[in-house]
Amino acid sequence: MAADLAFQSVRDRGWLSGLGTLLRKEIHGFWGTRTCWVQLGAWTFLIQGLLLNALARAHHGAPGTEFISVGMGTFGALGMIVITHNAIVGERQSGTAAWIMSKPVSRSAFILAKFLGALTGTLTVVVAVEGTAAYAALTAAGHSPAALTYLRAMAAVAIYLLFFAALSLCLGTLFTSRGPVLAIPLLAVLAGQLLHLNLAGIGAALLPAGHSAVSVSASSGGPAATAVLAVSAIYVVLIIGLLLGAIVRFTREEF
Amino acid sequence: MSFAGRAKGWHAMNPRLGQAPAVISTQGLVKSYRGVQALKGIDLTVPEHSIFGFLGPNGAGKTTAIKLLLGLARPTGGSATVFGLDIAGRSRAIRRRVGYLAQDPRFYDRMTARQALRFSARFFYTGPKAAIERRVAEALELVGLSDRADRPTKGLSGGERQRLGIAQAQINHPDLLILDEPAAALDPMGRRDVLQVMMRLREHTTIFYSTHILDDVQRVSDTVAILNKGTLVAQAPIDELLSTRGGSAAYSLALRGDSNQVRRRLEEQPWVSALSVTQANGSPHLQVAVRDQAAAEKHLLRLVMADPGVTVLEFGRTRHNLEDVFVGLVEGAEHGR
Repeated sequence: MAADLAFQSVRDRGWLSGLGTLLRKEIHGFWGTRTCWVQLGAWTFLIQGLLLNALARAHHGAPGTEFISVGMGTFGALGMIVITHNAIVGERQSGTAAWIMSKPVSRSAFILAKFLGALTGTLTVVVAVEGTAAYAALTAAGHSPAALTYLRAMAAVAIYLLFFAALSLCLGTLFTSRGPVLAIPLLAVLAGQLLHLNLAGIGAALLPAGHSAVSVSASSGGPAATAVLAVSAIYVVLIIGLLLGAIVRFTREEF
Repeated sequence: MSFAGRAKGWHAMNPRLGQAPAVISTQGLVKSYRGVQALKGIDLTVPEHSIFGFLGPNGAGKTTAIKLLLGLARPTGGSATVFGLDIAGRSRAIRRRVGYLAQDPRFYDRMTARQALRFSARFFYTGPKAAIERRVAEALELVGLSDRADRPTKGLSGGERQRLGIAQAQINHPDLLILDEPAAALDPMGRRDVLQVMMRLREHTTIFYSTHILDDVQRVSDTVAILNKGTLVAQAPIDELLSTRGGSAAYSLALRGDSNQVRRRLEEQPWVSALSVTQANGSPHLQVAVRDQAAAEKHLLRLVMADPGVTVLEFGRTRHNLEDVFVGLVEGAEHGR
């Protein structure tokens, strides 16, 4: 190659080739633009608003956990779906995916960068930033939950949201239009909520809404902790399966 | 032998190509979409350091062939190598040494031209940062976008996007530059600029570009291949292609004197396929099409000069217009079906 000797060439990292550059782009696209401020504002309004409402109503005893189940869980899932549904389809439609794939980039790196982008962006805001802020608010109000229990609940919420990120990305590799990529996960959230009300036991816990509810239980500690662990483990397996599916499908994609 | 026939055995026949190693080599490359063959087994050989024009009408399969070479699509038959690396199994290693401009280059709207180039460069270089920035600045300068460098790409005109596309394609000092219709969307000035950039880059790289703008090909290419409906109908150095239309060479002679006897003698030669005489400024001009180029080069001028009644004022191979050659080959291939 006629490259200037001063350059340090990128080493081929196999199935991770190009991941660093793509992930930097995703992170900059979130934290380096006004996107992060818009999301911070929106999530703060939703989650802290729900928490303040719960604190205001909790004259006696601990406040409710709506800010976790509704704010972080349901709204978080809906937000994650809306934000990630266009990640793959949009790039395929606009032609930027073909541009990236003409570089020495692996298909798996493209999918993983999108997933890690969601993890370092929206998930970080919803769970780490808002979760920490909520914990601080609870502590200030004299309702500080046990740190480990609270962390377990946040981890469960994070897994719950990542499930929808992985589902959206996987669907993005299967469909060429945004409709089904948006609709299917949204229906999963809504149907999950409805079914959860009518099911019991492990069936209910395994539903997305069930997982959200389990994470809420976790925030109060007690016997639900084991269920959180079990259900979360199943969701981690599902997330890995969805990502592998997305990678396999995207590897077969022709541009 | 027709040009369609020549397309297959060209590598062995062409002494210029024989000297230069092939950067791209395809053998019976086939691509089908839902049972429809977009490429019908093409054998292509692109010599190193050539500017190789890949011609064909719209829908001929040019972009499909390019996408196969880059691993953006998978072949359904045949094989191909780039730098000797198999396109099916070594695609990423190939792309490390290739720069590619898509027919309609797309970038992230939020990125500025400089950011898009920096982003491209990061797929090839980890640093040092100063060297990457210098390279980005050079690329912007090369395509005349330095003054637009910090504008978002969505604000660039079609021509500017095309030039940015060329800049990003050569950001990694590629050994092979693949350009898909690099000048199609440009005005005459933009086209001229792009062709100049290509001429500048040829010193360092092989350029393989598809186009249907024949003027451009004639101006910058040294070798060409013509694709029609998924079939390669010709592949040759441009000089050879323009001087041997439809697989047969033609010669022109400007004479002084009575050409009737010369004409009769030429018509008797088995290697002459057609002969026409026109008058220009009172002198006969002969156009001699031949079946056997070697025999013609050996005997034609000797035969004419042997006639004491004529004086040869001019003699040379007839150079055709590329458009005539292109139309003739494409239509010939269609009539031959």
